[in-house]
Amino acid sequence: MARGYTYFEAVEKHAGLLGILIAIMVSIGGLAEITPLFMEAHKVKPADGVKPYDPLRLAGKDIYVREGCYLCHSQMIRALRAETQRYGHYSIASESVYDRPFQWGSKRTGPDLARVGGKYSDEWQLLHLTTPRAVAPDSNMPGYPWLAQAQLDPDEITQKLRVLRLLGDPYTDADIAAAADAVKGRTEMQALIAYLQGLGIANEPQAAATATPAEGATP
Amino acid sequence: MNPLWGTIAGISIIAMMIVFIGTWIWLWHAQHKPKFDALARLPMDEEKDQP
Amino acid sequence: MPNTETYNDHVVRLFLLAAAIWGIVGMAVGVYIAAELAWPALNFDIPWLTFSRLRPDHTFGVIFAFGGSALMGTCYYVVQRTGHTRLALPRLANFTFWGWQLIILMAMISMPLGITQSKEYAEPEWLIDLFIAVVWVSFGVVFFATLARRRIRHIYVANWYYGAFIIAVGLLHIVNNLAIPVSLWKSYPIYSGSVDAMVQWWYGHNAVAFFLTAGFLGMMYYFVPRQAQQPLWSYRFSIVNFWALISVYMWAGSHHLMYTALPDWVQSVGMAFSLILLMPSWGSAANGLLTFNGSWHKLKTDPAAKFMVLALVFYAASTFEGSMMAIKTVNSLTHYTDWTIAHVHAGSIGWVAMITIGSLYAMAPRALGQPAMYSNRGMELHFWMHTVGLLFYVIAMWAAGATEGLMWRATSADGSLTYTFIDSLIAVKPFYAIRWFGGVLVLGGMVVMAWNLWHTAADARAHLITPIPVPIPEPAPNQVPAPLPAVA
Repeated sequence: MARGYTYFEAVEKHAGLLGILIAIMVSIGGLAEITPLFMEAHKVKPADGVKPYDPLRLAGKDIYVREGCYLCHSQMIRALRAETQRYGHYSIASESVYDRPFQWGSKRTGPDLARVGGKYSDEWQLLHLTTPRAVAPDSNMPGYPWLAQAQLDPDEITQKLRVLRLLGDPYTDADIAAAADAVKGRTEMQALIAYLQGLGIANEPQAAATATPAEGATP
Repeated sequence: MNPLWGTIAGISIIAMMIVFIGTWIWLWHAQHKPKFDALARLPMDEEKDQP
Repeated sequence: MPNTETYNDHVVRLFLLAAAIWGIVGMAVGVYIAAELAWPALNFDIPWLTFSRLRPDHTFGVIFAFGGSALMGTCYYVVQRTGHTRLALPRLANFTFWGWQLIILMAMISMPLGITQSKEYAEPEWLIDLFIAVVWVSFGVVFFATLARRRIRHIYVANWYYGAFIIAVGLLHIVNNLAIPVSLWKSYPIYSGSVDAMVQWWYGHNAVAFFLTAGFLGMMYYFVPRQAQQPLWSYRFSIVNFWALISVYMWAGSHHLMYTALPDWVQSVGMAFSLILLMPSWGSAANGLLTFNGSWHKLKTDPAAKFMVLALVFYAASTFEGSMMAIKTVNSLTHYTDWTIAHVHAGSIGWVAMITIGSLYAMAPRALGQPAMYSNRGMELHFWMHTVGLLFYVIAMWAAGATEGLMWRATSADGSLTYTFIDSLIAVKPFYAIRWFGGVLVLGGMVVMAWNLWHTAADARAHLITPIPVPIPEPAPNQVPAPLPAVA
């Protein structure tokens, strides 16, 4: 025990050793949880029908990020009965493989948007995004009228696709070549609506859509 | 998952337990009490040398 | 006299001033966005004034600008006092101050302009993240270099917490912000989907663990015994709690992602560790509170001690609440609701802000060359405004969260959902107004503190302060390390 005493005392008296031990202790938890996820992530195949965002929807997603929509809207339907009843089939990991960064959110001041695509018309979305209380009088959502005035930048979208391909998203040369034309002359509002209207549509798991979630059904 | 992970997890849990219990025993060993008591008074030093 | 070494309190005073200002700014933004939720017309259709653009300014402003400045200032103060040494590398220490203020300005201007990564509490874009990494490493270098030249052999436990705070936050910041730039103002993270979610909440959770807990526990372990005028209740217990806290916290991040598309085993591990976490959390809270044993009479006369005691009570309460909310069935009710907001603010207005305010009131007179704060009644007023504001805030948000959670899951006899989403929003709107009022009180208290500090700092502003000499126990000519020159 005298020796154990010296060992621990060394930690107390040497700032460097203390620092290294702290670094080791704090790393263990993160590594143990994230490393297996990282390895499994390579196995997660995109769900049927999940493709990388087309240029217009990608631009829309970046506007969703820029405006901070994730602060009030989640995109993660939990495997709970009340949630699937309200929003549709619970979200699965393979649906968000192309979301950089992920948009699961943490707070619902407004409803979940994971499967909002197609629930409302484009006209409704436009009106709602411009003057929310014109269509939902009790809503406390801010209006985003400036989006309709701003044009998308074709050069930027090309560069974005290149970076995403670098990160491993399967865009072809043809996709990148066609990207600039796909957004030319479009407004940010059109891009955001295209993004919202695509959410959860193409990738909703069809067969199991009405199945009851495995656990967590609440009384 | 690979069963090896379970073995690694088990061994590391036991190792952590030993370190944890060892730390308690070391800390409450009577021989170290005076030193810790002195350390516990360190924040009160400041008032003594107040100008 | 060969002993010319004095404490470097100049940089401490700068951080003190910054904390007082950013506290007001960060909380004022909070009060405004709270008002926007209750009265949405306040968004005025102005992009940078819109709730969703402004909220990161509130979180960054209070956590990193107010909390960060207070942590760095007290850290520099404590490491000198507990090591009987002058701060090493004074130029680098000044750089950490100006660098940190520049980062805060860049972040808080760029985020409302829409330049954001959308990762909560890590919104600033890649360029600012690089600056943060540089300043953070410099902060670590100053801290550990000062520790290296200390004259007290044992490293006091407060410094352990500050050390863990510096190392872990640096690690978290770098790993979570790995991204490839698209342009100066936009980047894509190297992670996507569920891996990105896990990395983000590993960061988000441990930013709470190491920024808002470990850092402020460092503050607590120095200023509570000092203010109570009692030795720390159990120094040994503080060591056990330290190692337990830093090794357990990192495992618990996945409790932010219950019932999501994250693999089940990760969720279960997160829940289990969140429950274990209660032990070291309560251990630290108990250690702080029991240190006041024998000094409870001080609570009648010393507002700083009152802030500290209530901070520890809220620390115990919100860590208990946090562990409960990590239980899957509880989480299914509270997640995504305003209960989360209640929990966060019980922790931040209750624990973080109160221990900071208590510590600043304890440190400021000393750092500003005064026997006491300018106004005792000012501190008293601040205490009551803060406490009452906190109660209004937290109770309103608890009520709102429970209302939302119950309404979202309510089903009628025929199995259909009873309420639409908008029903729940209408039901909680009154609580949003009450919450705003609570926030106004807390903000008002911060203004009182700034006024009080301004008057306490009269001598500092007139450059009348005599630096405090470092007590050197050994015969002066042989002192190791050799004294640093008084002026950098």
